[in-house]
Amino acid sequence: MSGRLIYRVIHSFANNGEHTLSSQRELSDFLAASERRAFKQAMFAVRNEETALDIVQDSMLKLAEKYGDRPAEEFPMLFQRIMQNSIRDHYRRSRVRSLWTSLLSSFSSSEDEDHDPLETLEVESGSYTPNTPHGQLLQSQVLEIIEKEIKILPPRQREAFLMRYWEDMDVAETAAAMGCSEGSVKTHCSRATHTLAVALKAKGITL
Amino acid sequence: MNELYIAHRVRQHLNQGLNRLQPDTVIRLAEARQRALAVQKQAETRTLLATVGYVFQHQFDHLGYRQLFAGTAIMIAIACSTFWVADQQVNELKAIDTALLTSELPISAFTDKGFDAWLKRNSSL
Repeated sequence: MSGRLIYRVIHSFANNGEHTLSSQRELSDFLAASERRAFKQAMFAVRNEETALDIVQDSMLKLAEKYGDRPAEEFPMLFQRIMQNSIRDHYRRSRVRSLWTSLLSSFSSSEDEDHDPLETLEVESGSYTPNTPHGQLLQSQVLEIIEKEIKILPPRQREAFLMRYWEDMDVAETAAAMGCSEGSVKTHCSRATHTLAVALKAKGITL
Repeated sequence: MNELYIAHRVRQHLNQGLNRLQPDTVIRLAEARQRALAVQKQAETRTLLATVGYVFQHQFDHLGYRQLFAGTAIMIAIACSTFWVADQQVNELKAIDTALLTSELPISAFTDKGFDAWLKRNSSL
């Protein structure tokens, strides 16, 4: 009883609350800045909005619960690591589930993939920031193709590419989040970029 | 076109796409963020005294009266034995001092290394 009293009294003097508030604001800022990208990343991987939202939400909760007291600089790497693990867990669960369910589920998204926006697409070089409705339509079509190509990248290449070039993580952070060597990260990024460039060029898109 | 340039342009397109998320999705993401912040693990800055208090709280609060009594008894036993050993040492020193003071030889004779060596040599013969 006396131990608890001593602890509480001294602790209340030691903690004036500044550190707690600062940490919470840092985490809030980080999540606000990265939640949309995280959602899109999850969408690229699992291709289902509800599942992607679940993955992002679980990853946010895990980051806050387990690593909420870590320095803000570590948040991107930790968040990515948690999210990639959640995506991998989802793959594993889906694989197990697919053993017990009908094979028809694997063909469910084929209708969407058959649609090829390139049939009506004309990309104008140098028209990146469109002001006209036509330009905006073209841009959205380019974006759709880019997202589609990113979706079909090999998972490790996609992870490395998005972390390095979209999340702005350096090679070491990406390697730590992916659990591989820095050399592997560079190789994955290079291959992903090459694959994207070739695929977009084949569809007549000049970046 | 090099890797960085392509990556940069892809990134620009992807960033544009972030503004086209469904409002419902954006709201759900914001709610998820608020839920996460509500359960955030807080950093604890502990001073030395607070740590001592923490140790007291977690180590001694769960102990019963028997353990406290046993611990106290052990502490008293250790204190008594220490006192007894110290008392013994004081008595030994007192005996040596008395022997020195009542001896016919001067004290300097006992600190003389040559005299000590001579005594040892004679006693071994």
